[in-house]
This record gives sequence, C-alpha cells and structure tokens, in this order.
Amino acid sequence: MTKNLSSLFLIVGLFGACNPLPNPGKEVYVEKCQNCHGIDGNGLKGLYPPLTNADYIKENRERIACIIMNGMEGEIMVNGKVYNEKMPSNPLLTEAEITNLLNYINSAFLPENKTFTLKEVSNNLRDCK
Amino acid sequence: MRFSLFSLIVLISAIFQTSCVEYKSENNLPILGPREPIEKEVDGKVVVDTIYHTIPNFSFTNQDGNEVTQKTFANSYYITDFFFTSCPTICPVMTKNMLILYDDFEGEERVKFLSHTIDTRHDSVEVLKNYASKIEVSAPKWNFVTGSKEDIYGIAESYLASAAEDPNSPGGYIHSGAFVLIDPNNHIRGYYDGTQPQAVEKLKRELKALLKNDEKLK
Repeated sequence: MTKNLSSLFLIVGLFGACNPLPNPGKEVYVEKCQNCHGIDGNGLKGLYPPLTNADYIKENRERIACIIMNGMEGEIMVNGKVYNEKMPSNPLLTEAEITNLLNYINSAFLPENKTFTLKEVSNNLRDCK
Repeated sequence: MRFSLFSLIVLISAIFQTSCVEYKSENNLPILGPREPIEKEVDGKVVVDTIYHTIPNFSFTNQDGNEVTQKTFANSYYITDFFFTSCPTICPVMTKNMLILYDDFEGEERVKFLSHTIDTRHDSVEVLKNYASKIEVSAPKWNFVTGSKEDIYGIAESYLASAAEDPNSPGGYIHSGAFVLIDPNNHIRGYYDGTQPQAVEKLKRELKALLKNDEKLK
C-alpha cells in the first residue's frame, strides 16, 4: 500500500517536471493579442491581419514596439491584403514585456526575424510618433 | 485491495453518469427559461398546461438594410449572440467560433445566425455590412442587426443574456459571451460559451441531434 502510494507520488512528480518553462512573452500574447490575431497568429479573415510571416512586421521593425504600445488606426497592407480595423493601445506594458512579446511572436510566427533586444525596443519606444 | 476496488466502482459510476448526461442532453434538450402553469377546464376536469418561455416578436435592421423579424427564422433553428464590432476582448473569439458553425452548417437551410450589436451608436448598417463582408459571410444565413438601444437590450433579457453599457469595461460595454440556441418554436434550447471551442463543439453536436430528431418526426 505504502509502496503503491509512493509510486503514485513519483508519477505525479514526474508529470510536474514535464511542465514547460514559463514563457513571459507568450503570457502577454495570450492576454493582449491572441483574441484578434489568433492562437496560430493567422488573424481573422479580412478583419484582423496575420502575424505569421507578416511582411509588415519585417518592413516596419523599428515601429512595431510603438504600435504595440500606442495601438494603430487606418489602412495597412499585410502580405498583399488591406486591413482597416482599430488596434487598441497597451500603455501599461513595460519595455521588458514588449521585448519578450516581440521575441515570442518571432519564435512562434516569424522564425527568420532577428531577435529583439531590450536596448533596441527601448530606443524604438523613445522615437514613437 | 479494498482501495482499488472502491476506486474502480467510483470510476465506473462516474463514466456511467457522464455518458448518461451526454445522452440526455443531446437527444432531449430541455426548453429553458421560466415556466408558467395555467389551469384550464377540459370536459369538466381541471388540466394544468405549461406556458414555456418564448422569445417575443422583434424587428431589427440587418447589414443589408433589410428588416429582420421572427419570420426571417421561420422553420429554422438559429444561434444568436450579442457583440460589437470594435470590441477588443471576447468578440473576436466569438466571431471566430461562430464562423466555425457557419461553415459547418453552410448547406443546412434549417440553421441561421443572428448577431446583435450592443453598440448601436457606432455600429450602423454600413459598419455591420463592412464587418460581415470582411469575414466573408452574408444574410439571410447570418444576420448582423442593429436597432434602438432599448429594443436590443430588451431582447437580450428575453434571451436571458446580459448586455449593458459599462464605462469601466474595455470598449465601453459588458456582455455575455453566450451563444443561445433557439428552436423553430422560439424556445431557448441551449446556452454555450461562445469563447470556448469545446462548448462550440457541443452546440454543433446537440444541434445536429435536434435536426435529426425533427427528421424522424416528419
């Protein structure tokens, strides 16, 4: 009986060890971005643009942190398709959170995109228009 | 030994219970909402009839500028929800999940969709038209409707769904993420969390069971 119980604890313990490491960038993504841009980063039809292999992110690298912080309005073209919904601002996100978020987006949806550093994001945020 | 026998019994009864609930809910969905017993006399005997909660008549305007009433949904089941186009929180997820149902029931004439905007100030016919065409859906299969604020909030109460203005909520409105399933008799047959994929799958299964049942009764 005791032996059975201890093997049970061992199994439960092993499952616990299998839990993935926390990913702070993903946590921000799930809370702030996923509703519209989707769990798969594909957006929603003509309403919300995709992030997956989005040329817009690659071409506007130095503006992306500002867009996340301040939101955006007006027409944009992403991968050849026009989008025109208002994106809400996220004024409470810190520079570190935005850096983690961008690197999560890179790893999940833009594998070729260069990693963002805190310094780069911090510099970009200083120049927001 | 005694421990494992006990757990086996618990496990088996649990399986039976869940399968039983599933069986019941899919083939015999109850009519939801308040009921009123009415006494009447038939051949000198007092009989009690039940008046079921029924969605009252309504009249709204859809994305094409056409009037939408109960007649639009005659002989049909419809799935209804409350949303607004500029909603930054749960609406995009609800729309995405409703699209799954729309695609699944595309060829089924007995199933329609009705989305009410709760932001009647911003969501004009034109805004709704734009929204519908961006997600590539159209009336009469899926109606996006607007109307007077009082009528929309009033009908939300009839669907036993909540919708209200709330300056403290993101986007300015608070509302339930429920998908409500209405039958051809204007009775509520189910509530499903429109933000949860599993709940949407359940709706799909239960609605298909209802449709199949109706075919048998014909």
